[in-house]
Amino acid sequence: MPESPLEALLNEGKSVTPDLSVRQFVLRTLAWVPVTFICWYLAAALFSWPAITLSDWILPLIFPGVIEGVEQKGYLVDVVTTLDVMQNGQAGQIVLDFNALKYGYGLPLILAMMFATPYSLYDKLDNITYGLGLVILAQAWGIVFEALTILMLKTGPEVTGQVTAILPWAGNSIFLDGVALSYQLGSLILPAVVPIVFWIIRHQEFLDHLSTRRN
Amino acid sequence: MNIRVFVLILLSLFTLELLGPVHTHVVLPFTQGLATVSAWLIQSFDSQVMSEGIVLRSLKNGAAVAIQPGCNGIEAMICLTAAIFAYPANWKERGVGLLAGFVAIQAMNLLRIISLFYLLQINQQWFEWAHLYIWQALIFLDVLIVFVLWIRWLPSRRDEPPAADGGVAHA
Repeated sequence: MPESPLEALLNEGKSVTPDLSVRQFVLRTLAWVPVTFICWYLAAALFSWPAITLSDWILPLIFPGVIEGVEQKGYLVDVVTTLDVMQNGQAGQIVLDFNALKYGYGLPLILAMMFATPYSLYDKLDNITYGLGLVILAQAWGIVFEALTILMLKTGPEVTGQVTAILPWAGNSIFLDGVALSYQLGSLILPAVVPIVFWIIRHQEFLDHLSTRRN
Repeated sequence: MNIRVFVLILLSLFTLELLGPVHTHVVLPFTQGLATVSAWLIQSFDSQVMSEGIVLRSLKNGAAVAIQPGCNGIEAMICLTAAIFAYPANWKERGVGLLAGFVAIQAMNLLRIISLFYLLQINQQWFEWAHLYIWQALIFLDVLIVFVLWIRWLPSRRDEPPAADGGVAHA
């Protein structure tokens, strides 16, 4: 059966890596970086939505009765808790707010690398789909553990006392060490390492092609 | 490239980096050294700068940047190390790759620290943008570029015959 125009477009160049020098690949990647970063920043709220939605499911599961949910305000997150605080003589509910975008810059990075790689549209879409999935997971990891770190390690006994009154295990030192380590992992390592590692793992043939290319 | 070796080295080195004693005896002194080198480089054109531990401070207006974990290029070096050790090459070639990679990553990192130090004094919003998003991504892009250039340079791989069709098949 003959290929439809869409199939032909998707499969163009499939099964063969087009010839590309290291210099061409590097220049193409560097050319894509400003484009993907600007688009990502302009549509930051949209790109942050999947990770924030995921955190909204995860955080109330980890801290039931303490965290009510996560709300999105552009690329900022508001983690709504059931905990009380007294400020200027008035009682209020603790809401943690922080920037979710700082865990998501792997997204424009992975897009720039994928667009610069000379694979067929089908392969690019395949890689981008899995790559974005991983980047979203890394971003959600960052959001979840920043919220837990603020709550358990940065606020003080007045707040942590309320948490442990609801969830006694949350005061366990092993849990607190795990939160601190996971926060380090989510803030220092995952956002940038995930795109690079994923690209390297998914482009073995292209790397071999670059290593044996004559010019 | 051996993916298992790549992932294993990556996980081992990151675990090592997060351990308290390694942080105290390796990461912190290295970061302090980076602040000292940054201050020394800046002093070649701006004498009103000093370093205190991991902090770089302007004597003119008091603006200061602290070089925190994550801003010292160690994570980028770990990533490159894992890739180089997982790729088929001899030990000498790996040594050259690691040395060249260290120089390339830290040169880029010094540029990042110095540019951020001045950007902070010019515009806080630009500083945040460059610090949180752009420079982080560029440092890791540097890793990829160094790795790709290294595998292109590899003398032992260059002697291998190229693919017959001028391209390489893939799934």
